[in-house]
Amino acid sequence: MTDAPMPYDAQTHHLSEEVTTGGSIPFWAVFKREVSLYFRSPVAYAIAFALFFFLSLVFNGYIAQANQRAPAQPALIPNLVTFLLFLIGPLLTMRLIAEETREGTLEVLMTLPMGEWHFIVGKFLAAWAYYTVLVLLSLVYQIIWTQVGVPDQGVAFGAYIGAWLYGGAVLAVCMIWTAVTEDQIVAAFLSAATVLVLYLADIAASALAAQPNLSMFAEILRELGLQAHYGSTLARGVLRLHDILYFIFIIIGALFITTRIVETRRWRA
Amino acid sequence: MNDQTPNTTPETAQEQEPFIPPSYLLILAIIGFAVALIVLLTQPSFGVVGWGSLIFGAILFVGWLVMTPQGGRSPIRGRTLRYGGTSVLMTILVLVALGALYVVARGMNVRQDLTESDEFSLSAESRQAMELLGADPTAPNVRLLAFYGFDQVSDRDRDALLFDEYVAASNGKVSYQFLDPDLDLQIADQYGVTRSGAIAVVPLKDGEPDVENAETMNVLSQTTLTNDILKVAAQGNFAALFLVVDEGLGDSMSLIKETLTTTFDWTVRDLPLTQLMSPEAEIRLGDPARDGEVVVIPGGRRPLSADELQVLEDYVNNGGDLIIFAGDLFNEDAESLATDPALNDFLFANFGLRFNKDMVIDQVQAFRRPQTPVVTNLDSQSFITNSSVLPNGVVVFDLTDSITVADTLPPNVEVSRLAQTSPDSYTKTDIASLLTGDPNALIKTDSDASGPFVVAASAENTQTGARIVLFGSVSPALDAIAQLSDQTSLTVAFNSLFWTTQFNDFFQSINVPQQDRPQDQFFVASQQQLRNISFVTQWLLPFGILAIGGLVVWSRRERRHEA
Amino acid sequence: MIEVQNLTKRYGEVLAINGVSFMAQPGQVTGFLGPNGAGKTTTMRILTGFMPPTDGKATVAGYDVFEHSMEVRRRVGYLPETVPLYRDMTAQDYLTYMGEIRGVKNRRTRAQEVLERVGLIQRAHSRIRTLSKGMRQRVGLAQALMHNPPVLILDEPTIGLDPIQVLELRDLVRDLGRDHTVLFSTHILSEAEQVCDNVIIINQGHIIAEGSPAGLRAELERGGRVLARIDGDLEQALPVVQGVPGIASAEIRMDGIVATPANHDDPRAQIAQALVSNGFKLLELRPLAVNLEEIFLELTRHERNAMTEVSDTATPEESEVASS
Repeated sequence: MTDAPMPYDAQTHHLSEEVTTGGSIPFWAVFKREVSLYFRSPVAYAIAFALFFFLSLVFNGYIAQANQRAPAQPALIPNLVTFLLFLIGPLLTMRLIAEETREGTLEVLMTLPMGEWHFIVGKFLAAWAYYTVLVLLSLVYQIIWTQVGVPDQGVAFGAYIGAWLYGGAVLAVCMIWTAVTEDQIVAAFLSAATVLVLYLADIAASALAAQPNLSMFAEILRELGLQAHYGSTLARGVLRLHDILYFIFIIIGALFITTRIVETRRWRA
Repeated sequence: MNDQTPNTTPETAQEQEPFIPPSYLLILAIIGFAVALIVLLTQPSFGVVGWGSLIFGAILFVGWLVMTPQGGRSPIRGRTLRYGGTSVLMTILVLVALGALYVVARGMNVRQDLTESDEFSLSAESRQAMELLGADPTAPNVRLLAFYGFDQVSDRDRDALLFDEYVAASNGKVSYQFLDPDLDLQIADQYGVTRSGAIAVVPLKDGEPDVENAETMNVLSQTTLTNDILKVAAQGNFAALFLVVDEGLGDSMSLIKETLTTTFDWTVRDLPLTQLMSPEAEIRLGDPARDGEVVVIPGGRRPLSADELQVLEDYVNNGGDLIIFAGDLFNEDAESLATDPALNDFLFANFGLRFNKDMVIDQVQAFRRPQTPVVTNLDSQSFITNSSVLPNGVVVFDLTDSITVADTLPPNVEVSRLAQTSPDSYTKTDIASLLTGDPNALIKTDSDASGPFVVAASAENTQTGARIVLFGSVSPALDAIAQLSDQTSLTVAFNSLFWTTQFNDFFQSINVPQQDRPQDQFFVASQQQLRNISFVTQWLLPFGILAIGGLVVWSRRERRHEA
Repeated sequence: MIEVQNLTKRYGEVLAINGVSFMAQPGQVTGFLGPNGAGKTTTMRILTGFMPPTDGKATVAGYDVFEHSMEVRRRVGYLPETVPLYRDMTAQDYLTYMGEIRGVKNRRTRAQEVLERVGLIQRAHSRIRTLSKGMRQRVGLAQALMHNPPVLILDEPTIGLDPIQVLELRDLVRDLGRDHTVLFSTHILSEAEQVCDNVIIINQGHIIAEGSPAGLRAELERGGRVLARIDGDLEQALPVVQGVPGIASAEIRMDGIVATPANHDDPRAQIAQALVSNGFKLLELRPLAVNLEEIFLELTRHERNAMTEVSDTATPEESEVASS
């Protein structure tokens, strides 16, 4: 496909090379590059190693202690993963936009014919894809449960789907901070703090709820938190439409804010 | 006049525009939407405030669009959409829209129980029981009060799924309500709830909770919940009427009476003979409002008068149930109510059973003394003496009469020989000589009949539905015997009460069996498996990742040097 | 083809560019001259769609840079001043990646072609971090060429290169200028003279001169300040120069005497005559404006003269520009 009807064509008819463009999905290109970066990054492997080492310590401790004393706990590992996301999320995302801002590569990207969202969604999907691989690897533990007992596969399904969506929401929230600051360490710290606050929101809310005049605020705070949509529903095998929507909306909302921040940087630059 | 009109119009128009700057309208509209959202999120009903603020926001938003046609259009076209303060406003609008969508979805409350064991959905048994309950017009409404604290709000959301199914299956007969044990302290106290997570099941009497008959459980379990609902909804109106007779032992049967009242919700009354005869009596035999009723004669010495007997005979002939514990003959006249010929003639004619005026002696199989035979030969076919429900197969019959079962039973009558003494037992008819305490009087003589003897029997007239149980002795129902050993004797006594009134059928209908889920079984890992698990998870997986990572990084390093 | 009308960009209180209007024709290299902070980069960023203007209108290849930003971006190749590259990628991969985002279909072969064009084909598979500054500059240029855009915007592409690389790059730009619209910013007049068909000089956010390099130089040399270097005592020679008729002032600077004429006539003949007649050995006598700073000083001097007494504020500006 050539750009025949375009106005400049009349002036470029004498160009030496013929270049065909069109039909591009820029975020796919960004996604592919970022995914390949993850699988070549020593940091990403270090995160995966630390995660699985920690999971194995907890799991082996639990299985030795609860052997023949408790039913299989398919949600144990997903629960741990969602807890650890306050570390995994910031570490996976801190580089994404901050580095491009600092290196100046963002300037070139923003003069390319793609909306900011391509760039942000591509990067987010790459981080989520890497996280998805981690979640899929952790299914090893579900296989182990099946070997030693009869885990409720429905609970496992809900818990793993929940942990996956939960991770998406956390990564999207972390994207905001990596767009705000060009310092990766600052981005990581702010992200970790935000995720922890969202993780603990329902605990904070229950503390607030003791005061009757704050109960409304407590209710909103609880609904905003991550655990309220995972802990006693998805992790227990109950799928609720609005839990799923919560995670999806957090992703959409956070990515929208991130896009706006990157755009703002453009007109402030 | 004509000249002035064009002058005023532009002036007023110019005055009005700065009077309310359009951006203020937009801000106020957003505040309106936000208030509506908060109301929707937090209040149980949308209410006046919610609708009011929503309409307020909508009007102002339209006003903003009208007053600033450029401002309204340009966000859609892009310049101000992406830059400047409108960007912030747009972001807020998008977030509010997402929030509103979420609230709508939350209101719809679409849920799916993924658990294989349907932990949070109604089991088939519970569903059936609830459907039966819902179809029963006489059953009362039942309210579930779930005392879930704020830290259990998510559990509340989750369990509401199950409660909703109870409501639907029972056709609205069951309703539920969440309470905070910390905030609704008084109500929690009423039900004796102290901790979060407890659930009280209470029947409603005229719309008011009947706290007396409430059941509480500390942790939600579907089987227990179903059984508790059935229990409080069950209006089983069962009565045991203990005749107050001369030297009767009704007062020594308090254990039975109490258990019937408290555990099984029976009505237990002592019925004096005078009341039995009186037409104005408060308690009448054969009350049609009752689901089951049994007259118990707890021993007694003086035979019933002809009139009294007539009342009982009419009652039994009309399908009434009767249990007779025969009193002992250990008195000067060797008389007891149970061995009265008139009564026995009636029993024999109608049920083929008769108390004999004798005493069973067993030198071998007895408890402490030969006059107290121990019966091990129990009819396992009968509900009353079914060995599977008995703690052990031993029933003590103290100073017991023997019971004769007719060779030819009256029509429509079925008899079970519930308990029979050992073949070594024999009967003495000379009560007076036994009364002297002479040990020789106990020794078997040739004239004594040899065992085994029936000492307890049940009979049913399938035509009239009358069921009677005869015990040769009072002892199975006495508190003293129950406390003495295990509960076998008492269980037999209870079973006879339940069998005659068919309470067992009713009770089974309010008991949903516990499900045995494989998911609840404990996992078992052998030592070899534990070693394998440790190897795979602690070494293979994390260090494998590390090795692959090292390999990738190392290979890239190599290539860079080449280049 | 680039058309700019009244372009204004304001950062808060600061006016970065103020009412800039110019035109860049296809098949020409348009030079954009100005000191740092003059508004060159801001103008170029607006033209590439990187940032929106506060006011005014700019069309690139027939599309408004704001209203049809994406269309503009499709038709522009942009080389920013500090060439930002992914240092962990190879040149080939980087170009392929950029080509993919731009939707270039045959991007692998196209990357080869472009690298060939900028003379980097041997280093196609080297990681960018191992390339020299000049090579990186050329990778950046290759990136701008990937989609064969009709318009090229190059922000100071020769800065920081060694002389040979500079020459190579100038050749390349001149070559590209034959079939592209090239906007090329620099602060070296000779470079503009060599490469550009048209030069626009910008200072403090507005255009102060426009024309062909030769024309500009001619105009500046006529009536501009002159530098006289002599073999002898400058202190003694100074009064001689000051005494030349038509010289407004003279001072000792840059190992010589800088004389400022009072009007637009070239004073060189009179100065040479006066110095030689007074026994000084004249080594050099040339117009002072040979680089941008000097041209800039000349142009702003005329501007300042046109305005009323503002010489107090003008002095620090002058030194600031000279040092940049």
